[in-house]
Parts: sequence; structure tokens; C-alpha cells
Amino acid sequence: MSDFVFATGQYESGDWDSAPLVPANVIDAVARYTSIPVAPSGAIVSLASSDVLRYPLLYLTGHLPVRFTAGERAMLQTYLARGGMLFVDDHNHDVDGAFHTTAVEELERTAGPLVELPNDHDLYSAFFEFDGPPTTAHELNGWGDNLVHKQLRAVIRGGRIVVLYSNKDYSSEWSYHPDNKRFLSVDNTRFAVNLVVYALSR
Amino acid sequence: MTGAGAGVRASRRVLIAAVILGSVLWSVVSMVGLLDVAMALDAFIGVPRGVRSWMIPIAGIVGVGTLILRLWWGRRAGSVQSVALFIEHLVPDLRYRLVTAMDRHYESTPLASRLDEQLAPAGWERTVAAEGAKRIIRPLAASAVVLTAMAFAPSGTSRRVFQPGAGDALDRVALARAVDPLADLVVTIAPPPYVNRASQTFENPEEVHALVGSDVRVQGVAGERSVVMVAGAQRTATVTQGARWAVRFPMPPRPELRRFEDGQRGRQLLLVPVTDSAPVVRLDAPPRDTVLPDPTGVIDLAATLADDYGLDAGWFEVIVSTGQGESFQFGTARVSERPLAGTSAQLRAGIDLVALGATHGAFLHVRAVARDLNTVSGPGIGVSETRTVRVARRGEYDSIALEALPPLAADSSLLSQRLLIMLAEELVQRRPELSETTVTRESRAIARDQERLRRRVAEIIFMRLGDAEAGEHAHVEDTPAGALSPEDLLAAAGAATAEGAGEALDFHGDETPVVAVNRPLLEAYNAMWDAGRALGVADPEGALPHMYAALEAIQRARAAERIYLRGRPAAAVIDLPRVRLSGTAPTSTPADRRPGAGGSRARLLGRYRAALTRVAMGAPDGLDSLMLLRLAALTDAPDAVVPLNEAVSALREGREPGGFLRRALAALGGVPVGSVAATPWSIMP
Repeated sequence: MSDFVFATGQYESGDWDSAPLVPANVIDAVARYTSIPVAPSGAIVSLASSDVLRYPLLYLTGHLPVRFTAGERAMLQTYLARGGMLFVDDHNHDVDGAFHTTAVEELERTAGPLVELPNDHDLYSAFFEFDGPPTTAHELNGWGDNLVHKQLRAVIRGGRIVVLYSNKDYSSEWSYHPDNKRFLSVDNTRFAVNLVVYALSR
Repeated sequence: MTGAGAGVRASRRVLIAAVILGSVLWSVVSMVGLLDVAMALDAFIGVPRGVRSWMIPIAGIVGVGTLILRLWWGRRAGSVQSVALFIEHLVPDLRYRLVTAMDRHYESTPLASRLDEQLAPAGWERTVAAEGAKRIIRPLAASAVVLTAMAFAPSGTSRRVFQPGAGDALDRVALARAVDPLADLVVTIAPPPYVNRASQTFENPEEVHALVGSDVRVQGVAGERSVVMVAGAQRTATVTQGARWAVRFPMPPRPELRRFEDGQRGRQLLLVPVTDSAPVVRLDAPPRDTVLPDPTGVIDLAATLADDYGLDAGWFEVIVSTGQGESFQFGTARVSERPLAGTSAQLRAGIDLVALGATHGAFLHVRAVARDLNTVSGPGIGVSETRTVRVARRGEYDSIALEALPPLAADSSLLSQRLLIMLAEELVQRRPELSETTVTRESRAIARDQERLRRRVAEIIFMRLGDAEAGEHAHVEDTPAGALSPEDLLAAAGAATAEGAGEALDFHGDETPVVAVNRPLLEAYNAMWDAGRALGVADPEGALPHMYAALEAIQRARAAERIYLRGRPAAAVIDLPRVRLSGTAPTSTPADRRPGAGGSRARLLGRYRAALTRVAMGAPDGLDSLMLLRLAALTDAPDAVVPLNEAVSALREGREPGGFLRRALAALGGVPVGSVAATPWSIMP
């Protein structure tokens, strides 16, 4: 069995690399709390490349408008059909923002309609127990749309999440050096462990 | 008064006495009867203490009510006419002659004397006396019955009714049930004598909190089966005295579980020791470390002492060290030691440095000390923080030694653009009152500060472009044009790094991310140039628009900081062995090296899950298992104690225990609960 590699999706439009420290932090959390064999560094993979098929979980974020190329859309459809899970996070945390409006449009065109994910979904108990998506400091601080989003959205196929979409701005919440976790009384990257465990086990 | 009249009045007195006595007796019957009923009910079905504590007042009210009612009913005994009628009722042969004789209308008539003669031999007094006695005999008999019942009631039962209190569960007489020696446990705790507090009694406690060393006495109703107390592997037989079994032991210093078994069933009691804390001592004076120039004078000492149960003594401890180099002498002294009483005290004293023999260069280390009354696990000694009073060495002040200040941060010497604007605006306002020379001097001073700020902005721009901080000075300052367009400056920056600016910076048109980020700063930079030039020629009015523009551009640059530059980020590599604390030992696995995954909490977690299974199956020992777990958690997982306690209470009371069980699981390290809504600290984007 090969090690789990956390992959960040690279797309032509927008700023796909706006949260460069998220992969390291997620890897740290997976290593810290689970015995999942995990690669010490993440991978950056082009959405149009068939390399995406090597990664069970793909992370996508950004602030700027998202417009998939035909190649990216086709490969993403293949990826989802073959059991991959795409996690998309709106780094603007703004439902009126450019990323949200364009990304939702592109995702629905590529994968199907996004529906609100119930807060008692398996995802929230895949490893740690959550009552719903953890609130981020950026929501509470009034960044972006100044809203606390109660639910995540998802494309579900066969009872399984294939695309998870978040306006919570986990990209900001988790984009810090893992060494700084020692300053947190509660590790705010624990939800990332649920994401990884869900992607690997469902 | 006629003879008949005297007879009637005598009968009235008899009847009044009978009514009063009868009423009192009925009152006693009602009171005692009610208490008898209460005792009987308590013996058969058990009456709660809350109800029993009201029985005496209720019986009193019933008794007084009965007395008043009976007196009201017998109130006609006070009327002569009524008594005469009553006698006529008892002796019909009188044919209303007696009533007529008592009638005032005939009082002075010949009829009265004739009636008196006729009534003289009637002799109704005996009949009336017999009737009065009859009215006393019935309540007297009833009183005798109820009082006899009360007198022969079991002492425990009467005590439960007359003196209800904690621990009387054992006094209940079991008439309708078999004696269960473990049905009721009464625990009496006598604190150690030094605490000087009264004993406390608890009925059927699940756990007992008491000071270490307290005398704990557990009692139950003695039955056919003897009771044994089990503490770990040790079994202690209880002592049976009369109708009770009892066992005494001192409160242990650590939480322990005692189990009481009678061969058929068991009950457990959790012993949670309360520790007598050491006294808390605060040194109020001297308030801080001090250096005295000479070894003279008196140093005032003051301290506040407090203890949870009682102070025994307090004093100041002074350590004096004299000498220098490698030759020091030390001495320790207790100052103002005195016995204390109560839970708080103030301590004051003075140290005469001359009497103490302090010399130049001496050090005095002062602290306050308090001892509590704890004779069981103590005594507890509390000390304050230590203050140091130093007497200066001879000649210490003969020379002046100054330590250099640390270098000031560069940024702190810069005036902000806002402050420069304020200075320029003030200069413009004052200009009519100032000479041209002064205006020129002050304007140029602002210009110099503006130039420094402009250079700092340039440093930031050039640092982003990969040049050294001196880039602006080296490559732009010397340009004849001075102010550059953003693109010119970028090109200059590129030249400074020996690279083509456009190529190196992915420059496509006017709005590449690099330009987007730097454009506001470049605009600020150029506006500062213009402002500085105007200020240099003593034209602050002309400089102000440029200064406003510079400030506005800086603001925009700050807002633009959320935009990230595109490019491939450096790969962050996580040191997995370090994160997993797995070290380098080949036999180590992440699971057994990770904190919290093993050890006592893991064992508790296993026990917790097993206990939950038993609880879910409805097994009676499931609850006991949770209680045992709670005992273990007192030392190994204190954060799980409260939720476990709540869960046990909820299960016992039939409430929903889910939330508490979940929190207990989280506290034991099973599945953490992700209900934290916000993190107290986080990185900004």
C-alpha cells in the first residue's frame, strides 16, 4: 500500500496556490492523529493531467474566478467517476465573491448539483466527532461575506461525497505553519483528518 | 338564692369541669393518635423525612383545634338556664319545675319558694355528677389507649417521628419487609479535632467527601447476614451492636472505594478525600526588592496569612548573608513568631538593621511563613515569596556605570505619512505668523522625514523584487528624473537584479499580479517624491495633495495584501517521526509512542466501553462499573470525573445520559468532540 499523498489541484485560471501551507498542515494533522501512512509532503497536480487519478483526495482553493478548461473538466469528470473526492474551499469566504460564483457554476457543470450536506453526515464522525462543519475564525471575524455558514455543500453519488464545497475559508484557517499548532488550545485542523479518513474509507 | 338555684350552680361547676377536662383529653387523644398513625405508617411503608419533620407541628395544630372545638361544643355548660334544661333532660320527673324556678321572672314570687320546696328532695346532683364523669371517662380511656400505643411503639419508630434527622433511616422498624442489612447505609463523618467542626451524617451517599483523617463511621441495620467491608484485597468484618452493624475507619489520603457485602449483594461507597491546604501567605511589605544605601533604620514587614481550616502560628524568616567574594556568612532568624487563631491573620514586624548587625554589602532575604493546625496530614507550611533587601557595598555609588540602550528599531524612527501630513498642515496654518526662514527650515525638516519614509517604501518594493534593501538608493536615487512610472521602477528593479523585469516577473500588460501588488506602493513612492520636492522649496501647501495621494496609495497597498502572488510554492516537508513522536527506535510504532494513545487513559477507555456495554444490557453492575471508573479517573483522568459523575446521576435518576457519556468518552481520549465553535487564536490569512 502506498502512502497517502495530499494533492492540491492546479488549474489554469485563478490563484490555485493561495493557501500554500494548508497541505503541510493537513499532513501534520493526519500524522498526528492517525496511523495512516502519509507522505511527508504534498503534491501539486494539474487538473488536466491524468496524474490526478493517483490521488484519492484533491484540494482546490483560490480567490479568483475559476474557469476550467475543457481538458480540466474532462479529467475532473473522469476523476470523480473513478472514485476520487474533490474538496473545494472558497478562500474568499464570500458567497458574492468571484471564486464562489464561478467555482459553483463550474462544479455543477462538471459534477452535478451541489446540495447542502446534513450536519449529521458520516463525514462529521469519520474520525473526530463534529456537530457540523467547524466554524472558522475568519467567519467569526467577519471576513468576506460576514456570514457563519452552517453547512457545507456537496455532490453526492451513491451515498458518497464526491465533491465537497465549503465557504468556510478553511484555506485561511489552516494556512499556517504546523509548528504553530502548539499555540492552539484546540487544533483547528482536526476536521481535515475527517476529510482524509472519509476520502480513504468511503 | 334558693336551694334549687344553688344546686343548679353546683351542677354547672361540675359540668364545666367535665367539659374542660374532657376537651383536654380529646385534644390529647387527637394529637397522640395522629402521631401513632404516623408511626404506624412509617413502620409499614416508610414516611419521608420531610413529611415526618412536619408531624409534630401538625399534631399540635390538630390537638389545639380539637380542644377549641370541644370547648365550643360544651360552651352551654356555663349557662344556668342551659344547665337547668340539661338537668330536666336527665331527670324528666322534674317536669320543668327546675327551669321555671331558674326563670328570673319568677325569682321573687311565691311560686319560686313553692317550687324550691318541691325541688328540695329531687336530688339530681348525683345524676349530674355521673353524667359529668361519663364525659370524662371516654376520652380518658381513649387517651390511655393512644398513649399506651405510643409507649409501646418501637423506640426507633418514635425517634423517627419525634426527632427526624439525617441517619434515622436505620431507626425504621421493618414490619412489612425482611431485614436487608445493606438497604440503608448511614455514614457519619467526624472531622479531625483540630478542625473544630461538628460531625455530619449522610444517608445512603454514593460518595463521601471528607478531610483526610476524618473518622468515618458506616452503619446499617443488622440482619441475619453479616456485612463485610472490602477495600481492595482487604476484608474487614463489621461490628454488630444491637440492631445495627457498624464499621469505622479514618479517611484515606487517596480516593478509595469501599464495598460492603453481605454474601448476597453489595453496595459501594466512594471515599473522596479533601486535602487540608497549606496556608496562603502574602508578603505585603516590603513590596519589592530594595537596595539600601546604609545598614541603618528599620525595615517594616507585613504579611497576610490565610488557611482553609485554621492557622496555628506565623512568623517572618530572615536570612542574612554578609561578606563578599568567596567569603560569605549566613544567618537565619525567625522574627515575630506568634501563635495564631482563626483562618486569617495579619503579621507585622520590624527589622532593625543595626540590631541585626547588617553591614555594607549584606543581603537580607525576607519571607513570611505560616503553619496550620493540621495534625493529621500536616502541619501544612505556607510561605510567601521572598524579597531581597540589599545594603549597598561601600563605594558602590562612587562610580557611574551606564548600560547602553539597545539600538532602536529602524521603523520606530520613521514618522508615518499621517504624522507628516499633520505637520505639514500645521505648518500651513502657522505660516502667516512665521518668518520665511522659519517656514523654510521647518518645511525642509518635514521634507527630510518624507524622504526617509519614501526610502522605506522603496525598500519594501525592492525587497519584493528580490533586490537588497539598498536597491532604491543604489539604482533609483541617482536617476535624474527622480519620479518614475511603476513600469520604469520595475524595469529599474529588474536591471538591479540583472534580469529583464518583464520576463522575470511574468509581466504581461499592466495588470500582472506583481504590478497589481506593487502599483499602490509605487504610486505612494512617486507621490512622496513630489511631496518631498515641494517641501524642499518651502511649499507645504503644494506638498499636501501629494502627501494625501501617498497616504491613500499606502492604504490601497495594505488592502491589496490579501492577494497572493502566483507561482509554485516551496514544498513544505513534514517531519513525520517528530509529529508522531515515534523517535528512531525501529520497534516504535506511532500508536504506542503517541501521547494519550496508551497508558492509564487507554485502560480507562477500555473499561469505559465495557461498562457502557453492561449499562446498555441493563446489567445492574454497569452503574457500579461506571462508579469504579469514576474513582480511577480521579487520579488518572480528572477531566473525565465530572461527566462521569453526571452520567451516573442521570442513569440513576432515569434521565438521558447521552451527552454526559459522550463528554466522558471525549475526556478519556476516545472520540474527541468537535463542538468547539471558535478557536481562541489563529493565523490571519
